[in-house]
Amino acid sequence: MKNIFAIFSLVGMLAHSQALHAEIVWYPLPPEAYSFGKKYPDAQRLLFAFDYGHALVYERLLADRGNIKDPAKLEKEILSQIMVILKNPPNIKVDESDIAPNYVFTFPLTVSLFDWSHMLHQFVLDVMATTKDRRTVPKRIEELLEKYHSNTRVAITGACKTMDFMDGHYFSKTFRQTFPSFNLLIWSYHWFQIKLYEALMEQTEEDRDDEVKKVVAQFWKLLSDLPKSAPFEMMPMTAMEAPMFAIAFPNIPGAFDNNHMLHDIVSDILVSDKVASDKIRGEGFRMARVAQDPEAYKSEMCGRHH
Amino acid sequence: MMTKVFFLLMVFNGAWASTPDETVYRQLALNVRKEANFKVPLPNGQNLMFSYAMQIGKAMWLDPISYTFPLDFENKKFYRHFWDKIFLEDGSAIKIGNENVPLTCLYLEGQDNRSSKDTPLTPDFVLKIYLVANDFPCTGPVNPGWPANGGKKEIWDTYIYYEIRDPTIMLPMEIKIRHRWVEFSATLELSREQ
Repeated sequence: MKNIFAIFSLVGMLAHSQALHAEIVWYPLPPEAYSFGKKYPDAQRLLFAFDYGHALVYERLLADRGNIKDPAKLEKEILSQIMVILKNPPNIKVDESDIAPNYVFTFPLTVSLFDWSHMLHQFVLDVMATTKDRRTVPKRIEELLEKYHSNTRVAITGACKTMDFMDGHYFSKTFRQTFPSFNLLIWSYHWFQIKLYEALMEQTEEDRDDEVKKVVAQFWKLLSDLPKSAPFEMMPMTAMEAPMFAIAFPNIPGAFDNNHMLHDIVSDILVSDKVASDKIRGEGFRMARVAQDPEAYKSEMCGRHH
Repeated sequence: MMTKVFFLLMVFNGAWASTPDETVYRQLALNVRKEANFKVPLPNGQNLMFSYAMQIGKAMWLDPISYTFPLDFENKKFYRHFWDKIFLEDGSAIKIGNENVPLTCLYLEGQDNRSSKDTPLTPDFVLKIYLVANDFPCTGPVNPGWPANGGKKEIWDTYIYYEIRDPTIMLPMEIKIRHRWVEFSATLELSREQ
């Protein structure tokens, strides 16, 4: 009998502990996890390739920092490497620390934020791609969002931020000025991710399949002749590129856009010679905390460039 | 039926209240040295020096988790394992050379021998302290969903580990540093102690 009490006590303790527990690991995985890839393998593999491409660029920029004599030549060289990856994308999600160990070690908080946020991106796609009863989609996405925000240690805020969050610092815009094609490649990644959500808003499975195909095809057009082929003047924003999705799930676009802006901020920190090498880690940490802060750079005009 | 439900609720409520021992265990975690200097002794005098400084933040759990292991049938002798996790404030760091690696949490694995000890050579407490870098949600030591959810089995790439056998002086012993998965044994650098 005493053992039964002990078991109940332990269950009670663990249940109570869980409420205070913050995990970087999404555990247990949602039942839909990675089902998007079974339905749309080409799009899923591209998403895996983006992770690979991002990590590769960051590691190279960190390794070559201060020694880049000819940015245009480096850009061309790395772009050709990335195109190989995009055309032969991985079948599994690659661990960033295996591709970019120095980047991961230098930006530990930022990488934790990205990892957690990317899981939300992925699982929202999974739910939207494979849920048969479409009436249950909003509830499932709300559940994912609730789980996401419960991990306060690594959740990027869903509150919308002004573009000053991305562009209002002493190191801002250096990446896009130094490596315009790289920058457009990364904005094309962001565009692709956002457009997939919009495609999956279609009512019928047939229409969703068609729209995803179109998004994949349009993505390749964007990359066909960089920088001319990707005519983005500003970073693609969720509310503008995926208006149906943004209206249906108003609590999500802010978190996704803030994630994308933080990627650009990391790129700028890595390239700007105004950031001393021994300050990189600290600046990465500081900007990650800003990304988490719902009050910092708060915007009342969600999803608009201003 | 209602009586049973009420009784179970009472049990759950009881589990949530801190016991005196849990308060002691939490206090042990909070009393760990807030800073220390260490040395990895290497040949030729090229020693690797490192240190840490930390500010204690919130505890992850309401109370430490504990488990009692009975040593007799009357429950007079037992020892108890306990675990606690405490978040550390921003600015807490391991300093290795010019590098400041952010410390994110303190993980304590402890053993309470007070009811079972029969010699002064057995310490009242054995505290195994991990000062963990880069794990902001303090998920480790292991990935709870591994291998199904990918990644590595172990989560912590960088930490300082030591044992404490006397909480009155909190002297670090059996010191080890894991730096980006590579581990070194170390000694306390007394000459630089604060």
